[in-house]
Amino acid sequence: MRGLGRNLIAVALGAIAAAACLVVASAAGLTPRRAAPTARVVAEDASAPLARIAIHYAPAADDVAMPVWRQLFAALPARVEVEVAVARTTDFARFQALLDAAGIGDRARFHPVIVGHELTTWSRDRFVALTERDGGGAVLAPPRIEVGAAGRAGDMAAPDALARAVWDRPARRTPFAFEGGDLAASARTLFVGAEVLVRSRGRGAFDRASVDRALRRSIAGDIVWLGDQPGDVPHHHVMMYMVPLDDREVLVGDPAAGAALAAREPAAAALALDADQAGHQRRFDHVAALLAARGLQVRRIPVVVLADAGSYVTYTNALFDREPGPRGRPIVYLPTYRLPALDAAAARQYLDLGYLVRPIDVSSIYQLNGSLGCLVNVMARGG
Amino acid sequence: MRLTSILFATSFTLAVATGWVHLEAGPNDDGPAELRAVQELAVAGQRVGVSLDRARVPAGAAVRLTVSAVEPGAAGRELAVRVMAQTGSPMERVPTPPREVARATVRLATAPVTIPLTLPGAPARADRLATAGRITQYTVVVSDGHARDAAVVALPVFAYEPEAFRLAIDPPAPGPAGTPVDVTVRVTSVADAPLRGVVIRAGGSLFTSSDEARVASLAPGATAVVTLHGVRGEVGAGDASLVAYGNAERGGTASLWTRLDPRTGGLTVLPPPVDLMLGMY
Repeated sequence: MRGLGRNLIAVALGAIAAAACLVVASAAGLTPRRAAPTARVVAEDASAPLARIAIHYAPAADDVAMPVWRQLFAALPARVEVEVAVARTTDFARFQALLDAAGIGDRARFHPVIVGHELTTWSRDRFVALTERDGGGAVLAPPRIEVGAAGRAGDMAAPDALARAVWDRPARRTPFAFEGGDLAASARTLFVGAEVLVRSRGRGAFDRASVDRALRRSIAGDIVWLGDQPGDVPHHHVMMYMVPLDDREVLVGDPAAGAALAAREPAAAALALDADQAGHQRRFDHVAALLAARGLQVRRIPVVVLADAGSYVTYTNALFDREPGPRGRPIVYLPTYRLPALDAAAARQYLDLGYLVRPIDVSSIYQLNGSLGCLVNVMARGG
Repeated sequence: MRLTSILFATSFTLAVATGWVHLEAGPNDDGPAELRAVQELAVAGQRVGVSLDRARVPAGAAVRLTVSAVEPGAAGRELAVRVMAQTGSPMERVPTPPREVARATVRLATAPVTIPLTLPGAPARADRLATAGRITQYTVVVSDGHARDAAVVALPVFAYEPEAFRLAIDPPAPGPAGTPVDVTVRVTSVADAPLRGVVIRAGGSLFTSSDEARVASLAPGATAVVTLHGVRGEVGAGDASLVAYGNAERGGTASLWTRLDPRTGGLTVLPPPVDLMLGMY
């Protein structure tokens, strides 16, 4: 009897020792194969209701950004949690005071994230949010690179601060440089703008193949490249020129349609269009052709490319939401530009697609080369 | 005893073998915290160093591009140099798309070769206020030939246009934390044309305020004094900072970072918080 017990203990000890060895091997990375990624980039489309967004509040941008925040937070339902990255605690107090003064309620949905560095107001650019199958999430950020302004340098500290605040762990880092706007996702597909290749130029061997490999190691699902080389597609972030509406349908800007509407719009008379309209049209058309060749249904929507090609009157750079519940309708918080002919045409297009349209006037800020989608980083959907 | 040993070894081996094939690494390894520009180029089998003497310059200044010495076998070979420019303001989301603004050729030699590259800054406009405070990011691209897939060194360098106005802050009166306090900011124009619509705000750990002051017009060289109302922070709390920012309808932005010296009650002007700005020196 005693011998049997000793033998059973030996078997158990063998298994325990094996488990310990496996744990050590796993921790040391001595593993036979790499796990397939399960994380996806949080979708931009209206596939699920917004659950959590991140913004940057920078007092220096009050004149241009606060008009947008006032409208957006009046329109966004209280169910959407808002992580507010700020340089310091007093900035968050100022932000809340300004929202209070505007009669924006539900203060509990706003959560301060103290970054400790000056920030710009553009939260979309320093990271993309990931969602895991188990409901968790993460922040995927690029390595730091040289920048020209203190605020932009401070932005680079925001992903870690937000990741720790929301997911209680630091941001994951890609080996290559990118801007959040270089990536845009539907529920199952990640769209990657070829401009991402510019970010790492001269910083190592980061061609399209290696960036693609690195993305596939971190992100599950299909990856669709928009262009082979920078310059194949518009020199801008993805959602400035296209947006996935779901896994089958995309909207792509149409500069010719935008220019035609602008020509009939008195309020657009003061706007200077970029001189290279033919080049822009070619690049936007190339995006449309690439996506159509992938089997996606492509719809075109007016866009106006303004002088120097930094500022666009764009209707793809929107924020998408969905009413909760199985019959919930898609919602678009649509950037508008005080250009009635263009704004109405875009709104009509979304209405025809079945969206509830919530216009957000971005005329105060869009000439700083970004629009509504650039101000908001969607961190989680669901519920 | 022998059977016990055999059972232990068998159990261990089976468990390891079964578990091993199910072991998976994490989905990715994190990339580096920083990704600096590579300053070496492979030319004819040799590593050639390429560097700039500065990473940040006032607009209109020149940087010096140096290509290191090479073995005699590679001497005489030419490298192509292209300067790409993108202009933006600190507030803008992205600068303009890159455009080529200069080209040069460097002939490799057995001694280091240096050439100056002038960085003119934002395209000149009749209205100089339109470019105040703007930043032009240059990328100096050095390649062994002009082929699209040629290996390149791409060195970033930033050129800054002067601001159109500057700020100064008067030290606030001492008092207990949480009490009302006024902060006085002096706005001085350094522009050669009138500034309009200059909005001034302040904040920091020493001063919580949603107040703002607007200077409708400021003549060249003139100083306006504005007062902002707020609540005093606790001296010694946080970074003891008091920061003023301003932006003009035309004329860019300006800011001033200060820290209170608790011994003297005076304000020490700090450099902008550029500790995160790689390449700053």
